[in-house]
Amino acid sequence: MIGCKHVSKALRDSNWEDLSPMKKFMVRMHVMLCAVCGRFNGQIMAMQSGTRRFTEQEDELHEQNGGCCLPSPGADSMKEALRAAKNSTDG
Amino acid sequence: MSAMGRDQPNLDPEKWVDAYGDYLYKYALLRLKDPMAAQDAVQETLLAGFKGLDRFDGRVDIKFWLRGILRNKIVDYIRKAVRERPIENIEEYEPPDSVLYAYSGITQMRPKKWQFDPEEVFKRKEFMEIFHGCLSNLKGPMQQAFTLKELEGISTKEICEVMDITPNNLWVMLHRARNQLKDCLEKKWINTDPL
Repeated sequence: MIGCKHVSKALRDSNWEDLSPMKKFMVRMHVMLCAVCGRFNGQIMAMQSGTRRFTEQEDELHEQNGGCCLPSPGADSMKEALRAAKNSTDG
Repeated sequence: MSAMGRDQPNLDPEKWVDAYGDYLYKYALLRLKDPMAAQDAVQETLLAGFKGLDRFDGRVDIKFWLRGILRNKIVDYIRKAVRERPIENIEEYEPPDSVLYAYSGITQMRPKKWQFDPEEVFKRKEFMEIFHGCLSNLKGPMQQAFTLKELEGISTKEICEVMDITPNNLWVMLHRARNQLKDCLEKKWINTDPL
């Protein structure tokens, strides 16, 4: 059985969802049963899972929310920079 | 559609700004917080993409290939920002000198319970919109640490190098960022009165 410190270190170093199946199982069991670190580390795991779900849906959320688009002057200067880079390559 | 059943990749860099500019900008803005920095990162990404186009192998959509370049630019930007303006009062991010921490590696034995079931709400799209808003409220080193670790999945070792901090500092930063997020999520989700 792994100890609290091992669980904390595992969660510090990785998203718990990326752990090997065996380690994931041991971490989950420890967190479910542990009176010392269970609630603390359980909340870290919940937040890590939530953040992972967010990154998976981020593109869709960006599209729905609209709002913050690339400002036109910035877009123009990027086009200009790309054109210049292309011309210097072609030239 | 090509014989492979996929769209032809958009290999004309002049069209990238209109095709992917907004997408890349929003991605960068959430992570860098600064509109000018986000624009610079996108511009550098597009130029790097143009220069490295011969390395594009077509295995992923060019949009995601460019996003891969942008992720490196974001890490570079945070490294540069920390170098130009080192984190103040770094000692504030030292873990407590307590028996609990020495024994278990945690800073607090019984944090407040969630006021909702995280496993259930994280599946809901409307909650994710609130999560997006709360992420945008994180600031300073905590935001940088959270971005690198949780959004970008960068290793602890690399983050400590990029931000010039110790693993213990990072742990404390991430803990505070999560607490701030948790408070924000609870406040905003409960105020939306989802039931």
